[in-house]
Amino acid sequence: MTINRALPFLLLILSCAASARATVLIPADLGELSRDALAIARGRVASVDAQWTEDRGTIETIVTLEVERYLKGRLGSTLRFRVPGGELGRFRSIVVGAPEFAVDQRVVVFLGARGPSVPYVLGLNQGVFRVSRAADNSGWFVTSPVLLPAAGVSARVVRGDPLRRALALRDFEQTVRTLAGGAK
Amino acid sequence: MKRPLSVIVVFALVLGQSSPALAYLKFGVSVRGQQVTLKWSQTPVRYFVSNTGVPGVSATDFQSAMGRAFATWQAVPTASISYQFAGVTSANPSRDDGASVLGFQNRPELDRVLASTSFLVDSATGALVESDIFFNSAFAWSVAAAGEPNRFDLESIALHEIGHFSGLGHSALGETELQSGGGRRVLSAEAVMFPIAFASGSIASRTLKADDIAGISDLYPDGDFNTSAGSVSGRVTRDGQPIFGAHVVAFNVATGLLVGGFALNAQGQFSIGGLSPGLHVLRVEPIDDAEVESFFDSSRTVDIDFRVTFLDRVVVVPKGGDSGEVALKVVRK
Amino acid sequence: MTGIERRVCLLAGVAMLQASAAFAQSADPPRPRFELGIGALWIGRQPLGTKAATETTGAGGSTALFNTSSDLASAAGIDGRIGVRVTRSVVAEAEASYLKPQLRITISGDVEGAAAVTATETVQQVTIGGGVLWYLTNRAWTRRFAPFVMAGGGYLRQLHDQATLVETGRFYQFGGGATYLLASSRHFHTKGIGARVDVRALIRSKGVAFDGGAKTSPAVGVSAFVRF
Repeated sequence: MTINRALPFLLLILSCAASARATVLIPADLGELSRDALAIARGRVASVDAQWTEDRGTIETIVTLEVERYLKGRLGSTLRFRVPGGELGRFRSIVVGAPEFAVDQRVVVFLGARGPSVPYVLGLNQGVFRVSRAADNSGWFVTSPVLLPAAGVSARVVRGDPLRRALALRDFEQTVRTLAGGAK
Repeated sequence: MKRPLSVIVVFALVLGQSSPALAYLKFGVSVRGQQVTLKWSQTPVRYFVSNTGVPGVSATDFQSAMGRAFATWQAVPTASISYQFAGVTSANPSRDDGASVLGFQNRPELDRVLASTSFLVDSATGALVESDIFFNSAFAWSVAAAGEPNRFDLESIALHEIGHFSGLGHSALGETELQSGGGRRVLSAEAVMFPIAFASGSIASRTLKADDIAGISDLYPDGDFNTSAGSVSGRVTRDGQPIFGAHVVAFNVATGLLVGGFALNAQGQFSIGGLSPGLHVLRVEPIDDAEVESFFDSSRTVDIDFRVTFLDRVVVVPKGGDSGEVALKVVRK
Repeated sequence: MTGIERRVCLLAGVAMLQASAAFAQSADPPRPRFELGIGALWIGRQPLGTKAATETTGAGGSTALFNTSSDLASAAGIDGRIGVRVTRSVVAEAEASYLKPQLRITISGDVEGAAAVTATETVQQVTIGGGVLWYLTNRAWTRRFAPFVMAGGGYLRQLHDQATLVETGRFYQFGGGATYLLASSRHFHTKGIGARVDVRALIRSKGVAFDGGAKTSPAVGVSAFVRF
């Protein structure tokens, strides 16, 4: 049996539909992400624009980042990358495991690319770290949990580990640059 | 054809911003300002499978593995969901085309994504129109009965994705390890819906656990479920302040079953349903080892600054009822 | 017999009567048939078993997230009974008791280092049952001190905190003790007042239990009784 495609009907469905996704991940630590990334950039989200994919099969979002600093690679002062899902017209698609962005958010993103195409976020939400100001205005911190690579021997990841706290942004960036090999 | 009026649909991972959801995470949709649980309104749920195979897995093998995985969910005695194989298709599983399709797809840019489930939702009603699952053919797959080294077990991953297909989110019941050569692996998990897969070759996730069963039964209860199972609810606080995103685990001391849930609102409230009646021990922990956005909407900041803690009171879960408000107090790391 | 001799005989007779006043039954004692007793019961600690919270490994085995060990703490409560003398040595009893032991679940060995904790709740325990006492001496109910052995059993009901969950089972008990008669003459329609102490092995089946097995603990009863 093959699917009977009724295009007008499908367009009607799609016009008032929203979609979401969920995933099974191969996890990466910060070291892997740093080494595998084509570029690592910290910046402010300037725009979030949903669009149809090239084959018009589904929705993706193009995020524009005003780069404040590159930790690896260099792709220009304004950077565009893609994530699955998004809000387009009457509907919004959210991917479980895929990052969401809002204008004016500050983030550090780990990006990959295939050829000349628009870069993508490595490992979906694994490649995004949120940056927030401390409640007492003492500085900026990376609020996403950071898993540093094991130091020579395998180590259980212990929830509630008091050593795993929100990293000061400068400490996080120094760590990333070290793990990425100090590349600019 | 006149397009019906529609509203912006915000698809959220967290059900109910103002009231706690029965946890193990379900998907929710905001329709006209009200949260609607994302679930199939009619069963059996029809699905198509792709006519494409990959090295090691023929199209027939793929169809059989999907059938076994669907059958596993359908066999849950306390859940009423059912599925129906609708046929083979050449359609791409990632296309929004009105049909639920499962198949392989080459997605090298999703280099750490083994598989992914997508939903298409009618914005006017919040009803599910279709759900697709793709399995990333950039990885090596197996359908061998005992698994194969260096190949991911298709049935195990399918079982997880069909949980999403049915409306379940992720579970945090699992432990991981950072490996000396880089990367991270799962040491143990007590839910098929744990977001990280066991290493290639493992077939341990072909069996549903109590947390998975509680979740699917809560979404699609059979006649006896709501009168035979119980729940525990309460609040997680630190220094009197509510904690959002705390992971609460209920352990039945007699049966040994583990079911998890989350504090899902600004008041730090949680509610874990689908529990076997009896005495439970409660454990609360921060999700400070995970990509929290695989569990929660990114608009909320998950509080991870507290230690793993046990409740010092035995919690009694009655049959068909709730334990009554439980206060879980945690301290900073 | 002279007047003095008659007076001496009379005084001797009165003295004999006085000496045996408390045990006037020795000549013709009252024959009680029923006994009503009430007192205190102490039950010793009852281990309930251990259970580990386990997760499945990639190889299909299991690994513990944390461990639990449970018991019912020792507790004292009230105990009442009604006995019927069946023969000179055998008494049939109906008995009921009420205690509020604390259920304790000790949680330890958490893989993520959470502090060990003992989770507790108070259980309301009621037993209703019967048994047989066999006195080891003849005419035990008329003797000042009478040892006995006992056996019995019955229904067990345990109500958890907030009265939302009830667990039932059975109990069996074996032991012995002794009665001490404080007064045996007819007083206020009674035919005897005394005290009793017994020591038992109490075996519980089902009720609050996590590993399905029968649990044994010591029990001691101290009570006062009245015989009719």
